[in-house]
Amino acid sequence: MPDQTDAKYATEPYLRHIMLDFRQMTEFVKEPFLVARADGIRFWDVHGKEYLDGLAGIFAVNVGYGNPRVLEAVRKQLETLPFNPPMHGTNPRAVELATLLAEIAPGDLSTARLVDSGSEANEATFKLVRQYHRQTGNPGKYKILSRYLSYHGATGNAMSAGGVGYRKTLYEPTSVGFFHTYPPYCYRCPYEKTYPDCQVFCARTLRTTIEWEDPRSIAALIVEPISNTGGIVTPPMEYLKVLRQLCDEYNILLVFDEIITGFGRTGSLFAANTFDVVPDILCCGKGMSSGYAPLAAALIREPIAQAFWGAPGREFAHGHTYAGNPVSCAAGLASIREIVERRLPENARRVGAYLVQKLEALRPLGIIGDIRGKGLMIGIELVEDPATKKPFAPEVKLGLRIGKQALANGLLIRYDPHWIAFGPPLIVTTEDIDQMVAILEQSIREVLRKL
Amino acid sequence: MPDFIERGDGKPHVIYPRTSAAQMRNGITVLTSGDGMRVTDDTGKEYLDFVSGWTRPVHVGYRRAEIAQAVHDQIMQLHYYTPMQYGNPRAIELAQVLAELTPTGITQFLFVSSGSEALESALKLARHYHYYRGERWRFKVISRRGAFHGVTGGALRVLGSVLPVRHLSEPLAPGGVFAESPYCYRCPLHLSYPACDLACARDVERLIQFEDPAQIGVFVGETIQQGFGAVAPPPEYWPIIRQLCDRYGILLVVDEVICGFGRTGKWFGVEHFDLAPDMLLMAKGISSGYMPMGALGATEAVMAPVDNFANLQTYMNHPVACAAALANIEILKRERLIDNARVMGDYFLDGLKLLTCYEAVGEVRGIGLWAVLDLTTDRSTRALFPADRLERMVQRAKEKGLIIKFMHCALEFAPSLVVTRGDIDLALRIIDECLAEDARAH
Repeated sequence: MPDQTDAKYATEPYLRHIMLDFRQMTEFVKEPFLVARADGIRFWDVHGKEYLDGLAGIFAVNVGYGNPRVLEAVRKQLETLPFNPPMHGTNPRAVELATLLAEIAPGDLSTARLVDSGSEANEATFKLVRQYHRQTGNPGKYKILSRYLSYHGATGNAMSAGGVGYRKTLYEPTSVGFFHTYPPYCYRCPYEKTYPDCQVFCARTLRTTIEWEDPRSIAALIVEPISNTGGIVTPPMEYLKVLRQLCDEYNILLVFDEIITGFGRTGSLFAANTFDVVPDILCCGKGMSSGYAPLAAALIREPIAQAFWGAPGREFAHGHTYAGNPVSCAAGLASIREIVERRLPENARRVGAYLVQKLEALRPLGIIGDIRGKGLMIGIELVEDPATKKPFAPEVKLGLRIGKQALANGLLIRYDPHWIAFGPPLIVTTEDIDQMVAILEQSIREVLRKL
Repeated sequence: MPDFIERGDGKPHVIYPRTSAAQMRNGITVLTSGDGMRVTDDTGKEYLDFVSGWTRPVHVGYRRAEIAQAVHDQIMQLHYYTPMQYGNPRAIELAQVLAELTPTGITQFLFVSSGSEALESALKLARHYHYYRGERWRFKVISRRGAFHGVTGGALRVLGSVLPVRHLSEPLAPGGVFAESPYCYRCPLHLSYPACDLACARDVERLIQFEDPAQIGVFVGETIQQGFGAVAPPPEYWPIIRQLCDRYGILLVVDEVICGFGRTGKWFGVEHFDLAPDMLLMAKGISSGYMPMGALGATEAVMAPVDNFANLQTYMNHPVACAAALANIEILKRERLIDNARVMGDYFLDGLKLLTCYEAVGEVRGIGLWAVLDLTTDRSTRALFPADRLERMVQRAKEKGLIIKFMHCALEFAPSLVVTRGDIDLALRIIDECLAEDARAH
């Protein structure tokens, strides 16, 4: 059992001192949620209540909680070397990690720029792509093309690239040179077309956007292969291939934000493998260290990294105190080895297929419009009428209600006003899925009764 | 006469805008006089001007003595005083005249020196309007891919055509957002009217949602768009946009720099669509180019919250420009040139339609005295038409004594409102010859 004295921190006098992510504290203090302890795919709150983690924290804890190999690696590294002077050099674990990443990453993504978070990985990338073009004779390439409904992080340029809601609009105007196009949201196609008749118009029409914005001014196109924040927006298989062709044609660097999709989440080690497209830069984080220490990276194709070798001044002018720190790297090495050696991507594919099957069985509840995603990243769009795709009125916020009810019933999932999603640790079994879906079903029934 | 020749062999002291070094080497045509529908160059060659001065301002034709007289008189009376806190009779008169002529609700006017300045003033006035109403974060402007609203800072931000002009100046101030244009012949959404149900207009709502309705100040658009060649949207387009603007508190700025003052056979283009804008941009035909002039019209509702419009330029409400505009509008009225634009426009369009016998003519469209032949190399796919062939046809027409131009893939015509059947017959014959030459060569 957790230390019961921690329960006191779940009270307003203490919570007055903290500001949480995306949480209205006025509401939070009424129903505080403080996790005290975790093991495997379960965690317990400060009152001792048990939960199933259907979201791996936030698509992060891919190897599950309490993994002995990762724990041991971190403990050993803390004893050996907790930190090194980052501006003067690095440490063996960082180089070892970069070498491992080069080995397992698709294509010639063979250089890692290690950082501490997904936002930082994307932020570094936006600087890196501009510098790359400057150093290869295309100094005019500065614009970053991204998509509405995307999320690329919380910091300045990462937020500018993001394409949804109050996470961004509260802080506008954003940086200059970021512009947006429509995502491959097939269930409600922004172009009012139907796959496959559309021949992925959303990807093909990017040519016009590129031409009209001037290809000589565009540095990079960044996409999440499957995007979470918009509701597990999952493209048709050929979508990313079309983007790859267009980027090649116009010398635009293709960046995959794989912070969520990386390290087995979609049923392959990377979504790049799942969709069989190699980006120029692949940003990853979360599952990389399974959340045991803050760790992320931008993986860079060999010819691009090459442009940063040479005379002084050509190096990447970028740094963070904790980037590539030995403890995070040790956690990353252990987490990645667990994922690879225990074939967790394969498990994600197998158990993910089972999850989809179980969710399909919930369609008779009459509120499931669409089930989408890959591997263990599966979203459900909730609608009032599945036949016509008619959404619920905005004030219904069914997804929020279901998500909160599920949490009350001991299951953590991702929830938004009109969709919910699963992203459990990749070690889940079909039995775990049975349990999770049973709680979800019960929660939906409870919410619908109150509707 | 030879003193004026800019043949590329000497070193010109004039900077010619949007004129390439190659064009300079080929020589610049130096025009020395104009009369009615015609201009004459320094070699004595006469041209029938079917683009009203190329940028299309010359609605009443060249060499109007009565405008010259009005300008002269005003200069001798009072040629300048500041527009800030001081007024002059010509600006006051012109505003009264325009309040009668312009569409419903537009009753307040600011006179500037160009269309670009009118656009800048409109964007600034919108900021003022929102600011005084406590919505100072409405900084974004929705424009359209294919739009042209001028070439100054704010205008560049919403420029969706002649793109190198924008690209060269980037990065620009933030806040420019682009919707697709209602260019049906080559629909950017690959849909067909009317089955599309005006997706291009309806989609503006999605764009507003993505960009945050609370941050959008203005939707700006040309009633009939020049970028793809005189594109008039389907009748349902503007009502949808008007409705969206109302729903989200966005000001609708309509750019009638080209359409205004009779070009389309009505005083203003919006009359074709029964559209009531919040602001109206005017230039060109307002003074027929006799004086540099543009104007911003606004509704009382737009001006009401504004305590102090902090936007002063030296030559705003200029008495001489306003005098020229008054004389120009008097001619448009007295000679019933708006009626003539409609009648001659129909006659011209009928003639142009006969040219569909040429395989290259994909679509003939026009409204009043603004018409185009949208060309294609393949009628079934509506493939783009190569610029060099368009350029060649324009050049050949010029050699034959007819000045025309091209926009995107279209040959464009916008003669002065004084054009006669005889002028049109002559122009049609030369256009026909140019198309025939092009067809023979390809």
